[in-house]
Amino acid sequence: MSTLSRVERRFAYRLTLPIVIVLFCLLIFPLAYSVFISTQSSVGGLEELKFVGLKNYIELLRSKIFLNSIKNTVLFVVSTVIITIVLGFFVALLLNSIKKGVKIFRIIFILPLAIAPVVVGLTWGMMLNPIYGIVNHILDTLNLPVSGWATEIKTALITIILIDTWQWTPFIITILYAGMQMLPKESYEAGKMDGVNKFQEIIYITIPLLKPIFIIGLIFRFMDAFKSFDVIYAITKGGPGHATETLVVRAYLESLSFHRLEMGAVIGVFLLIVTFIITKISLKYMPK
Amino acid sequence: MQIFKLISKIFIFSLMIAMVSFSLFAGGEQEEAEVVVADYPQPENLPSFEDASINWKQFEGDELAILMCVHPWQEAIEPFIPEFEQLTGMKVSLVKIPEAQFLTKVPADFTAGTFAFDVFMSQYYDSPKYALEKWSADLEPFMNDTSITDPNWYDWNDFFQAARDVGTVGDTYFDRVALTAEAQILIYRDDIYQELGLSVPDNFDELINNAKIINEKKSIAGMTMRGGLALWWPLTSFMRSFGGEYFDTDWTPLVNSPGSKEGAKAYLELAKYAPRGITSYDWDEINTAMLGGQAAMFLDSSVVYSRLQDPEKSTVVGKIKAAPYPEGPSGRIAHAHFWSISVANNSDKQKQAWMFIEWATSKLMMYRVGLKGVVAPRSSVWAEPNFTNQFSPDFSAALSKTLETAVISHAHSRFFEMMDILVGEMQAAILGEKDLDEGLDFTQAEWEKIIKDWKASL
Repeated sequence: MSTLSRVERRFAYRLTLPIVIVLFCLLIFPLAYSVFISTQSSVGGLEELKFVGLKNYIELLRSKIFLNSIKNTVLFVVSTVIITIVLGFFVALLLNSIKKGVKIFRIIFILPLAIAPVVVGLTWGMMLNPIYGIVNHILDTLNLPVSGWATEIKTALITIILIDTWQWTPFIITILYAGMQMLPKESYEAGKMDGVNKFQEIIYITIPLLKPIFIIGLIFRFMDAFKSFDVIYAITKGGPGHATETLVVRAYLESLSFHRLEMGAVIGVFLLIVTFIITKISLKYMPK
Repeated sequence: MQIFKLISKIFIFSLMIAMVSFSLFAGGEQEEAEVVVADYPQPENLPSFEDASINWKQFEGDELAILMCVHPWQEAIEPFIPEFEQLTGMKVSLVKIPEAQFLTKVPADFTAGTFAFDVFMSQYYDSPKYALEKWSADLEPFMNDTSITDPNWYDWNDFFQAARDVGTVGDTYFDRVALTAEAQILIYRDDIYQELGLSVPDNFDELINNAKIINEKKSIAGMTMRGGLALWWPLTSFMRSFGGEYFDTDWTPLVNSPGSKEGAKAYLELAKYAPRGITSYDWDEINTAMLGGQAAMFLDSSVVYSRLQDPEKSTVVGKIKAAPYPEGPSGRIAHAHFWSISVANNSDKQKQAWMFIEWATSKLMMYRVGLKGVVAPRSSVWAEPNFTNQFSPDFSAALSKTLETAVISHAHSRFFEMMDILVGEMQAAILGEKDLDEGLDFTQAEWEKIIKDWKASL
């Protein structure tokens, strides 16, 4: 820590004041308000909140539907994170090994990320319609089995996972490919001298060197998957039969469809704690 | 290479210009709003706007923001809005949204405090919440204010009793005026019935059988019905027709009673003959299915009729007929519905908003809207031969017979939360993932918890 004079320190405080105010308004205040609301009951109206302590938390933890949304969230987040990272890594490897046309592929691959999630949800919803959708039509023409996709309980969550993967794999491809460009050539030359084959090269050189980028990708993907709402709500609204109802979708339904803002706030606080813990653990593995 | 770069630069540049100018001009297509000439059969016995002893122009120059749900009523009244503007000198800006989005947007905006409209369409299931939070304005003072309402001309008692009750359903202050009189009726493809030699079903067994035969013999689905988040609406009448129901008058849940289970079983049975993907079908989708010829039968709100006979929207004009709601073991108990219209309490133009409602729900306007096939909840309109004559006799007979014994639901502040549980279980049962009886037992247990919690908080 450099030593600053008192004058310099006061100046520094004044300079950071604007951003502190912004952070307060955008982060601290909504957070504190959410925690406050989660301990109230709005049964008498939003103007007449009643303090009920931890009653809402207990009610939620006992609710089968809430536990179902935890299960869906875990399945969704773990699946989409793993698939995007593995798939993204393979595509980045392929991209790294071709010489011509890299630019065009990069543009094509980044396109899904550029589309608004709501549009992604609505468009895929239409394409996956069991009767009118083009996907089933193509499958049928090729004599492959068709599916109910997002309209059947068994396949709804998988469908959502696939769509989310489709949209977010480009992110992983981009950061891993960029990372691969910056890998030191010496490690590879050393490996060649030791006579490694392609497979060993990937496992023992590429992956370890890319570890920091993997971690960043993991953190961002986790946070994004937890927050994912637009795509899910646009296609299934959490249905059918609560099969795609994640914590965020449940929070939305509780707050705005069922007029119980306090339950949405409880889920929000719950999500915050979980995200905080996961981020803390991930950062521990991050090399300094 | 240089030329290639130059050409691609010019291409990108002109693309940008095209995109910018497109977005500039796309929003600018404002046709001059034409006032609709009174080109329709005149009513025999309804007062005109000039007969009202109020000054229509007292709010001249004011602007009204109106939010409507995409609905046959909105489609019928929208062409007449320029006439309202001419009559009152007010300017109307109208926004319309499809039903599923409308039903989430309105409470979301009110909760956030950002609701920006003076007049909005409303559904009565939410009325306890709206009244509790004072999101909708009390209309009684406006009705009684003779400077803006002529009580004899408006004639509140001309509305059906049930429609008047909708204004205070849930024991709230009077905050909505009924717009439509709808009930569940059976609408079927007469051409397919003729082809397969089917007769009009009068009870549920016959209905299910007809659906099965159509499914087996034709490539069209026997039935289209709701399987999405709003399936609770048609389900309630299935349960009641078999002797069950959601709640009794004291709010005790009865959803797993024997009658309720029978009714739900009938729903499941019928759902077998609906198009695949039923869980994504709500009001808009079942409309499209019928309009596009995807299904042969429809057992939902009668208000679809005006769309089915409109050649611009329907591929089955002239091929459909209507029949009364089937009779179950406990009677012919269809679900009736009244869309309504309300004034936003946070509006600073509540009197002007009321004037719009007074105009839109007046005898003459309801008659004109009725001529387009949207049934009005006013007796004077039903007494006009031009109104009743425009419906085919089968439709009038079906609707009036059904309305005789149709019911509306109770409204409750935790209604949608409870319906969400029921819908989840029903969807699981429809898709064969869960046993129906178990699902209804689970729903009953959850509802009992919620009602107990709600009663304790009173």
